[in-house]
Amino acid sequence: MRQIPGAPIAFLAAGTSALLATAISWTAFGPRQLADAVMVYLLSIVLVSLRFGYGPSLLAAVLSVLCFDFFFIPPLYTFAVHDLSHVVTFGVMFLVALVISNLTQRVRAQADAAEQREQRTAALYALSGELAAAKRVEDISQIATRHLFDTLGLHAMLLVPTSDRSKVRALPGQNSGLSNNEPEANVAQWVWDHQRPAGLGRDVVSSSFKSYLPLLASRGRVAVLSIGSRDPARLQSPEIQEYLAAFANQIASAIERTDLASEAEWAQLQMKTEQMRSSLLSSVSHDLRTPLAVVTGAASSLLEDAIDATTRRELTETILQEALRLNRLVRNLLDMTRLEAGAVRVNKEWQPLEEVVGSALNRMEDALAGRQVVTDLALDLPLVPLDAVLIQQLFVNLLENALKYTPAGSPIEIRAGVRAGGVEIVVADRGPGIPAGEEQRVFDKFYRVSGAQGGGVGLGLAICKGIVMAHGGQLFVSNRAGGGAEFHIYLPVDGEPPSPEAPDPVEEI
Amino acid sequence: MPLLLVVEDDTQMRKFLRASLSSHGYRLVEAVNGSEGLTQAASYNPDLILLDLGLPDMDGLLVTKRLREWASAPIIVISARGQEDDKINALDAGADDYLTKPFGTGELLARIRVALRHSARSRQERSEPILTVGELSIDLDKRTVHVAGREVHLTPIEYKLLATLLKNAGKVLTHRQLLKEVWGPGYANNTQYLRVYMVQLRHKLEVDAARPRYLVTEPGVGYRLKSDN
Repeated sequence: MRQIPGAPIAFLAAGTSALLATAISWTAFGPRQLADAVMVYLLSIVLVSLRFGYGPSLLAAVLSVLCFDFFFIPPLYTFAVHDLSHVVTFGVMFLVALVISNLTQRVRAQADAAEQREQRTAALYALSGELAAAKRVEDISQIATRHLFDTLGLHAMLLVPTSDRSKVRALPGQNSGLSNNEPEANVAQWVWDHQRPAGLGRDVVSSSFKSYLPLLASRGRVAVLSIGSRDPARLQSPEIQEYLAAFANQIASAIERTDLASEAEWAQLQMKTEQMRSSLLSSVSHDLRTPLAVVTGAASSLLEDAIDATTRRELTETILQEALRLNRLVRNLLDMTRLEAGAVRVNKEWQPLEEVVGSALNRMEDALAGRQVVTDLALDLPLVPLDAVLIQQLFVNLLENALKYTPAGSPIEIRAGVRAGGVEIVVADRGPGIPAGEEQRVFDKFYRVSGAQGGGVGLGLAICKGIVMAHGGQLFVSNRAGGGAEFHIYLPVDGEPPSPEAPDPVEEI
Repeated sequence: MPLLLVVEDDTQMRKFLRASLSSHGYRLVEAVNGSEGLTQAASYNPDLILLDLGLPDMDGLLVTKRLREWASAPIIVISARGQEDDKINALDAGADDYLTKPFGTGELLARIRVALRHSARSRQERSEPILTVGELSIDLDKRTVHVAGREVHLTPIEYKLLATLLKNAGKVLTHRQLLKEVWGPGYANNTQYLRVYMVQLRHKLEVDAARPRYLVTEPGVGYRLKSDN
């Protein structure tokens, strides 16, 4: 908007302009050149009106008529008028000044309005640009609030529907002030229910503190916008209401767009889950059936008489191997199901890490025969709150994983040390390592690294992740310098272990 | 030849146990549920009882308790994985050891041997003052401990803990059983003490404490002094 100078200055300028016009006319034309003088006066009034507005231009008109009378109309230097026709001149002059003032005023108002419209259009344009980049309702809300404050000085807040879409409330983390203000909350709710604007400056419940606009998009209502102002009258102005309507439209379609995007994402996810489920089913049934087929076949062969002792032994060993494989599969499937169903109770107790590592190595003793296993546990390891059964399973799975994917006879290392607020355990091998880009995915359920050999449904590491997460820790894998994979387990050590000082039992030595 | 009672509801499992046990010279009595198991135990007075924890008619824990009211024969419970609490309860109620399904014949026979030997030893009271497992030996009269011929000095608690484990070599002992035995009944729940002393003991006796040869942890259950049968 154009800056209008303060009122005292404007009226002073109006007075000065009348005097200036008098001085110019007097010097240029002298008395009796009445028509020329009138022209100069009118020009000065036009200028005043253009620059200072209606009030000052009226003052300029009055002063001009008086000066004109005083300096140019005989008897000179008095306000007395002898010729009646001069009174008509005054009247015409005054009227012309009035009309000109009015016209310039109108032109000015229109120019102002046009400029304002242009500014707001530009603002709306900028808004649409910003909204296009917004991915979440939270972003949209922030943009809307900032935008309405910057352009109109209004305090806006987005009220979004609850998941069942029956009610509206502020976004999490924002204080709408509605929770403890029932009347206002009711207005907001009414607007959501009836999809009509209400509140301050509107036809409905105009007594409320704020104005509420329904945000309607092509598929229906998406949110409610609450708008507050220090100057309530502003909210009643038709231009502002018009602007708000345009604004509301933009916000509404932006919200609808994010809704559609998340719906599409959800649909995509559903599809993926469905795909995964069916691939899981085929993979699980394949992995369960293969060992079963081998066991069935080998056992039925054993029933035949014409079998020599060597073959008999081989077949029996096959049955045993396949049965053990089946056992691992079923164990993993059950573990995963239990972890996912949240059926696993994490029974944390303060224990020495070496105990769990030792028990896992002990359980894997037969399978690890022929492998060099290096254990390097720092001597200053604290007691760690952990569920021994689960963590043992974690190590067993990691060891099984190493056995499966690394060449026979290659060494396996288990290292542990203190790390910020907890302990870090590393299980490292000298196998082919993890293919680049698959470091995260190896922990996904049913994911197997590209080109993986041997049986397995891809659950072992997912279970490991589940176990570590249940302990509030972290699990990731990296490739080692010199080849091989390195699984890093971080377990937090929170709080203090109970005093390790055991009381001496009553001695009977 | 020792007489074993098998209490197991699954026909195939019974068949497997019958085949593998009788081929190793054990005599067998079978029961398909808990109540039959109790009756059979009373009428045959077996030398050892193999008891499945998942019986159709009654809780395996209850069967253990009923048996322990009068029978001293060792009980080995057979359980599925993930039933740690059931195992502990059965052990605390008087079972001697446990087997987790699936298990091989080797493991089964080893557990039976340990249990039978242990019950024979406890019947004879203490005849041998020196107990030996692998390179580990303890002289209960002189109260000395040797590993690979080298004497190891233990604190009184460490000694008592090791002696308890050695007397029960091969058998699993629950945290509670060890605490009661070493510290006394008042400390049955202070697993913490036990863990700390086990660590100390391992560092004194084992070559690599993270890969123990003797002092093995049974996660969630207790400890076992591994004996090589």
